[in-house]
Amino acid sequence: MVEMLVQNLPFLLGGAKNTFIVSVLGMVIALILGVPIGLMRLSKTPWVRSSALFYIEVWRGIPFIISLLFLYFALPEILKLFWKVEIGQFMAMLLTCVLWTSANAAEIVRGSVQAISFGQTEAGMALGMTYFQRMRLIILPQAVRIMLPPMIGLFTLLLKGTAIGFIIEFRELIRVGQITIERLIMVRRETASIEIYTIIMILYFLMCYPLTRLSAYFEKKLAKGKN
Amino acid sequence: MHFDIQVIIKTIPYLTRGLLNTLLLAFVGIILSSVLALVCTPLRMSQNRFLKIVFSIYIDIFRNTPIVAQIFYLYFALPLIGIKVSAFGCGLIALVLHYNAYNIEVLRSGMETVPMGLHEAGMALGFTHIQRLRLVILPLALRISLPALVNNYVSLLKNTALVSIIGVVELTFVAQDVIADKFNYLEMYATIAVVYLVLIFGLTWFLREVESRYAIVT
Amino acid sequence: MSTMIHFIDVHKSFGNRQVLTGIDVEIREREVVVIIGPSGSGKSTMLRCVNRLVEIDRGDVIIDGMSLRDPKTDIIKIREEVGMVFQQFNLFPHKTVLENVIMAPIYVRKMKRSEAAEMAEALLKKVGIWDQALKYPAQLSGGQQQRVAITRALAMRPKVMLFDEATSALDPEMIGEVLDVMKQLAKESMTMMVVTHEMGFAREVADRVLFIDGGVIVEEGRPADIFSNPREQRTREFLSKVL
Repeated sequence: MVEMLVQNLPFLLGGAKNTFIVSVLGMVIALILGVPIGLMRLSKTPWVRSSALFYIEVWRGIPFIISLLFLYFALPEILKLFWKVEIGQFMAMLLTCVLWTSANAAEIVRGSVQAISFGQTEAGMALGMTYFQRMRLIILPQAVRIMLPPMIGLFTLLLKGTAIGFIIEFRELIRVGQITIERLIMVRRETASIEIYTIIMILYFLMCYPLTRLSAYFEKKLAKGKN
Repeated sequence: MHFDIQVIIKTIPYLTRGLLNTLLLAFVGIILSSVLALVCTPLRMSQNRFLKIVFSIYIDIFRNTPIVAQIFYLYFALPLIGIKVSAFGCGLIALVLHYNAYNIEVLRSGMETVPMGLHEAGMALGFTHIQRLRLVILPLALRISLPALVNNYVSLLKNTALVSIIGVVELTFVAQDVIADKFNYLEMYATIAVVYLVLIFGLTWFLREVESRYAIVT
Repeated sequence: MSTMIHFIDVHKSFGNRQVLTGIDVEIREREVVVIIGPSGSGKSTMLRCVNRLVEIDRGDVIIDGMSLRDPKTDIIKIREEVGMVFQQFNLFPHKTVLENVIMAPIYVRKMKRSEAAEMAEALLKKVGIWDQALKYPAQLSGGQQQRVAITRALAMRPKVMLFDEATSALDPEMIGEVLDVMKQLAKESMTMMVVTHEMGFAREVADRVLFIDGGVIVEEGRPADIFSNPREQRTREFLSKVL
């Protein structure tokens, strides 16, 4: 039995790799989108604020699995009118990750910026800085420190969230595990569900636990810094 | 592209059945995971080394693995230890165990925020340890933790969609089932997306009302 | 008059810090003992030893015949007879004034709710805050909160009342109303141990004053003696700073 598990380990690790890749890519793009959207959320201009709010509420409110199913199955129906586009599994997965994560990242950015006392903005204004200068030189550098623990937490949630990708047969860890189980049933007449899922749980744990500890470490450092 | 309202209307009874199960999972899940957390958090914080280790392991496992994996795992593992439950029961157990872990951490932080003076006042008045917890510490910890707990509750509602993977007839499962027959991806997924948004807004609004009444800002 | 509280060679240290050393005091029934001394001298710790909020390392404290060190003693029984008022009031913020007062009688003395409510009403009226009975602590002033805290402790009908700097966290204009309640209690012959900086109160009401410094009882005596003719150098230094 152990030999069977060892044989399939590379395949399973390949699934873990896909999980990791789509998560990292999704996170990076989500951060690039999330910061401006989070700042837009704080804008004094109503339509800017509302658009950001709409984006955030929709992509946070709709469950990840629904967004994924919608983007993979239903979106092509709409797009068929304009372009002959096929949305592949990876693209659908990535798109869902980006939309969901950027919406959550925007909320974290909003919260972090709001946590910085208004006095900092006032000081910047008194010194004659423009909005973008204030953001770049004063507010965002401080906000980044506050954002770090929840952003790490968001990435961890994303890693775990990609697990539902199996439902569109994206080859992430769970899907790969299911394929392995089916193969083992066909080839060796063995039902190894529990064993494979145990390995899957362990692999996810190994990916996520260090991140959770990292986030907690930064949180402690931040609390100490404040005092 | 066509959007056939007719099809949606015809499936309303089936959708309603799914919706009711979603709501059932959400409310029972929220209540059970909260009650369980109220019981577990004092145990988690007890001096007993064994309890501390057991709960640490439980919480670490459930917070560092995906709900999907937990749902599948319980689905296969529970029968092996003799627990026979329906898919609904299994899904509910997975959700409760998952969110209990999160609630315990939130409640623990809330408990630590309760000022030492209130512990002392309780002791001075002659309350037993359990009375202090039940009458003073836990009610206060609950109110302090309310905003964070609300986040967990909304998340639970959203993740009821995941139990469809083991065949529980809730909203997402119904949508997929109808699609398997009629291939109306757009209509079904758009509809349930809207339904979920309405549910989320409704629950969030309701919980914020409760929060404004009971939450204590320290 | 019998001895209500008897400190016998009490020692207490927190880690490396020796906070109380060789405390020997007898407090008789109906006596009002005021404890004065610089911050960190161990005054609050001494009070907390009586109802075991702090566990002593050596020696014993005997309250109304019950020994703290005796493993057979039920600490709840001791706490039923010892009421404590804290510097920070420590009212339960999620309960109304009335509920704060009746909670302990109901759950600890097992009183019936109606009985407890009647008693609470009488006590709150006596202290002058019955009209605030249904409010929450956050809605009351500091002086009012502390009076509620005193009532909460009195509702247990204790034999002894401990006051840990009960007025130190109050704005000056509210100190009077709390001291008045304490003076009234003294007049009604309650046994009291009071840690305070209010020397006027000590002079007026105390039967005995204890001066504690560095965890040791440096001097004790009648208020008139201590304040006018302190024997010890340390006492004189302390009094010259505060009077």
